[in-house]
Amino acid sequence: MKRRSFLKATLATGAATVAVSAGLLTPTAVLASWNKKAFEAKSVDEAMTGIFGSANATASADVKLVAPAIAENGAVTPVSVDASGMKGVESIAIVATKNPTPLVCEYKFSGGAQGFVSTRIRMGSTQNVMGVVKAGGKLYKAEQEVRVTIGGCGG
Amino acid sequence: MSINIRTRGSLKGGVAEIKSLIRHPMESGARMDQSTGKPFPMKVIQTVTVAVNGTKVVDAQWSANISTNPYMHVNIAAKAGDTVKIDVVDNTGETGSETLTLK
Repeated sequence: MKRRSFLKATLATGAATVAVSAGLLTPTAVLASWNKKAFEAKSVDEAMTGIFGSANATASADVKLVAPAIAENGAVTPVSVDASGMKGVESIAIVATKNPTPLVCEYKFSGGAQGFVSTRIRMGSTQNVMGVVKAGGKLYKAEQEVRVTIGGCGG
Repeated sequence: MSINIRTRGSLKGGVAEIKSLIRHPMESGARMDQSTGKPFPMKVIQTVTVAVNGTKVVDAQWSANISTNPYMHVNIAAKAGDTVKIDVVDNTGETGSETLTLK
């Protein structure tokens, strides 16, 4: 099979398998707390609504998104979201807008935790990465394009 | 077998930088095993929590979009002597936990 068609086939069947295995294999105790709907959403809006209840986020300079302009290897893209300059940060989510399931992760903060997260994510292709911050009941975001030369999803 | 976590915490002016490396395949369920033609079964860490002195301060949910052998860095207001505990659970029910005392 040619590489191109193999990649396409992998992504298509992969989506179905994720749904099946998540339903059959996941212990119920874990499912109860894991936001299945949002994490399996195929579009950015669906994912945002699933996790924050709304897809309307205002771009804000207080949300500092740090990601490389060019990621040589999409399987390990370092991304950090810094909202420590904002007051009342409740949660931070990272969204890779063109991945098969866009929602990457969601962090809820309480007590002494600061509004900061740094992690490494997978990216399937060149796309925008979004850092979404919920502070004081409102949604703020920062967005940046990351060029990917080798994809990291199901390759 | 439990999930291996390595954590380092450094205190800087009342804020602890908690950096963790977790050994985990983060298998998305989308990758094909070329020898059998079937996908590798999904194995992904789904919940991660960080607690200071027994109080949960960070409650995270992950998807397969997180890289293999995940790295996580969070900052927490803390002081010397505080205990930080990190717990992870994946979709197969496997768990991992790591405790460290800040100094």
